Amino acid sequence: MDKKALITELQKDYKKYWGVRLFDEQGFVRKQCTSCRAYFWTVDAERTVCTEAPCTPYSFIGIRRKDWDYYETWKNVERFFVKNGHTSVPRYPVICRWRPDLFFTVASIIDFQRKTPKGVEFFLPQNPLIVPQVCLRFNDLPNIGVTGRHHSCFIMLGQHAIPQGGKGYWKDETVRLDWEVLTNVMGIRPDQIVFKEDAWAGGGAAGYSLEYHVAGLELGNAVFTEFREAGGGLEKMQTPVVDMGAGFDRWVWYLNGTLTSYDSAFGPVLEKMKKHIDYDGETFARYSRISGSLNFEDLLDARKAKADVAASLGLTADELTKKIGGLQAVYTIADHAKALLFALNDGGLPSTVGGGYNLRVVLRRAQALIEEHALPFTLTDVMEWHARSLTRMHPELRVDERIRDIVETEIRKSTDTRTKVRKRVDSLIDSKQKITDEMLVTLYDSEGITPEVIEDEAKKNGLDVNVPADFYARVTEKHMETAPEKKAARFDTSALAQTKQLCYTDVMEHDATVQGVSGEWVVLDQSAFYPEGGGQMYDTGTIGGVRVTDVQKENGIVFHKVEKPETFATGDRVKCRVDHARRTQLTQHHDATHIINGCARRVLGTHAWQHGALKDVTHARIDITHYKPLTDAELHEIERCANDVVSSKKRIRKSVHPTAEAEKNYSFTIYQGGVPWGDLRIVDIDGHDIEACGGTHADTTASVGKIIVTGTERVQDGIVRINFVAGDAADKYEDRCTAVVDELAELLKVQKERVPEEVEKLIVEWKAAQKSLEKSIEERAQQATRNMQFENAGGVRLLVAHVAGDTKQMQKISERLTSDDTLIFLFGEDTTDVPVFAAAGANAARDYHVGKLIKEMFGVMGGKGGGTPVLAQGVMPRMRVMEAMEWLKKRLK
Amino acid sequence: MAEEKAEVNAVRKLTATLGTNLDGIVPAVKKFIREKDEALGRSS
Repeated sequence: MDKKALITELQKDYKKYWGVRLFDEQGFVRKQCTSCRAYFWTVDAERTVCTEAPCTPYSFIGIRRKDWDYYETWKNVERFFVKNGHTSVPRYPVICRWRPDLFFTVASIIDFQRKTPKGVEFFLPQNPLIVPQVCLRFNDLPNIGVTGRHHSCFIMLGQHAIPQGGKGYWKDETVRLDWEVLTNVMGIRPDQIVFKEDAWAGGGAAGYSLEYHVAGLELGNAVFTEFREAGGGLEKMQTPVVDMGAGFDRWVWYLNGTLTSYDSAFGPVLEKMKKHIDYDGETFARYSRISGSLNFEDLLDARKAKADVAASLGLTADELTKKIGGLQAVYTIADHAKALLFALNDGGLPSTVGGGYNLRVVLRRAQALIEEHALPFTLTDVMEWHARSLTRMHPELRVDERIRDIVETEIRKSTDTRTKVRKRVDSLIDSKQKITDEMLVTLYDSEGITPEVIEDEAKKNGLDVNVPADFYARVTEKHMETAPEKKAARFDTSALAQTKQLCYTDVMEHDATVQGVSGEWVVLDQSAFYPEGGGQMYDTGTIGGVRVTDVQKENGIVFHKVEKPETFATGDRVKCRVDHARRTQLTQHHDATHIINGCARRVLGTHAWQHGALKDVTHARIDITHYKPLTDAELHEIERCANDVVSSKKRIRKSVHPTAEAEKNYSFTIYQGGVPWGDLRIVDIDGHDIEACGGTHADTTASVGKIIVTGTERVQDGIVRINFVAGDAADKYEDRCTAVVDELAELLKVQKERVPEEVEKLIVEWKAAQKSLEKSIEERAQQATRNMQFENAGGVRLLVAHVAGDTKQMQKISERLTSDDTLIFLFGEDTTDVPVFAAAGANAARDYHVGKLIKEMFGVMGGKGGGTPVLAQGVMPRMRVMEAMEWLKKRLK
Repeated sequence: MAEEKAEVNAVRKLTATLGTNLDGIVPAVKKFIREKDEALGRSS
């Protein structure tokens, strides 16, 4: 159900949903706004319009109501709620690690939502609570810096409660508390506060809400989430939730009455920045009072709105930009720098991966504005100023060496990208190739070049590129594509009980009863076989002496693929044996994966987050988020760290905890391998690495044996892969290394120690030989073309000739001879099949398609090949070459 | 920590130089030798 339909439905009984005790006690009346037609509640019986802009323009600017800065405002609000029985919970990270469907924490309630197979579920660690949740939203970028109130990074003051078990509260108490905050703590006159009726629906839940508006500004929205979507309609939830979210930056703005919310939120930072720009303060003061009505969806919309606002100030859009453009740039830079400060401190990275793209956009946008306005500070300077200014509220924020490196690397990438795009577009223009949607996706995925940049560059060169409207949706879809699900079997599982899993015990041999057989798959009542999962490959072994070749799990039932399924029948008692050596190896690789993950975070920084992993028998790998290729020194350091963890014989503890307890005790880093639901099995390598994990693990790191990092590769922008081997696989890898080096020593006829050096020398010699060959081909082509004669035929200059050399040689000859009006057909030399090469100049290609011509010739003379209108090649029988040359001449005359 | 074998280190250098994995090293070197010889033969 959409929001509008929901409001209409609920307003049939408005008192039931929006009526609260406070309204009766304080004599509120329900009105309909004569401007926007929305229903609202007020103590002012004379009021005809609501107090939301533009129905009521901003009327708080220029009035300082409290002498509180950002931090003091929070402390006063926090004190009030704590006094009224709330627990003040520290903010959650802005990178939303606990919701696989979200990249960023976009609202305070997100902290307390978890995705479950049934949908979104709410749980509060304390009830009731408040949280100053820092949120990131990137859907309003054109408004930021312009409207005075839009931010990409803001604090949502969350007030949350669940009325259950004598704790929490519902709408009467919510509105009473918020009324007291607004009137008693913030000192707002009751008649200035309007409560607007609204509703909210999303993520499978819905509720009615009251928005709080004062002097043109929305100060909060209390959503009473009471329904869940079911069967096309709504049903009541078992545990309704109070979700009051207030834009805290607006509270500070209202109390300080500054021209924009940026001035009250970024105060000391802006002071440093404004010194370096020229702007007309008087024009901006007039502008800021009407900017409350600005809110645009896209750039076209923005241009029009800007022109309208400028006209209302008696200016043209250009004049307005000249007077206040610098100031708006500074506001934008300050906003984006703050978003980056929180995101990078919480482990985010600019990239093309997921939300990393949003971070890339704001970083490049801020940097472009710094360059455009020739500002004498860097983006990291602004981040540093924010960190200092926010230190009382957020002492955890740092701009350390790593964060500087991330930002500087991204700026360098951006510069490189611009150069790369220019070159790439130039080459596409030269080759007359059309830039297809697939090319745009490849360039974006593999090189991080956004389609907008290509479009701009192409336009400058007169090339038309149309970026599909759903480009990013397509890319996302591509990234969401997963391998086809490995279906265990077409079992009717309804009659089967869940398999008792023994793979987390030491049991490797046991008896079991066959529960069912379908195709090649057998289900047992209990099983020690580990089913493939979490990147760890499945166990093998035998059941009743028959080989098990695959093990999968679905809905709690373990399916065993066997070589002779016909030997099993339901009810059979069987003896099961797990291949111990394979299991040990897989376990060593799984333990090593956790160890390397922990080491990567220590060596590279906390942004290094597991993106994927594979633990097979012969090799293993872990993909991690990182902003540049790993150096040899970093790999060596990770390997050293990993082997230190092994030799220090750390305990590996496995324990099961409820989600809330696990998150509280171990933080969100437990979700490195994904976000499971329900009770979490925590694998803790003595604090070195702690993850929720369903894999097999030993009891001590000593069991892992040697770990060798065998190499690294770039998986995609922002993701690097570390390949490694551990335990027995490491020993075998060493043996294979020895064999390879021995073979090369023999091949190159050098001592083993000199093999790497000798291979480098070989490559240098190979390059020199290729260069010498190129030179020789060029010289021969020069010689060959001396005596070649064109003849006029069918409006073009035609050359049909026999030349010495291969296709490469013929191509070189053709390059030297081709001009706009030439058609060239060259026949090479060989004992059996003769290479044929054809080329047409630009004008000749309008009348002749050489690809089709040689295809036609091969049809008559034998041979195979083809090509484009301008280039073609193929091979044909040597015996018919002379005949073919004559055929061509006749065909074209 | 166990001492790293010289051959493992040599392979690490080789994979970086050749842009291949362990299994691809010998075929890659053989290809370079063959192509070098062919190029020298054809340019003479």
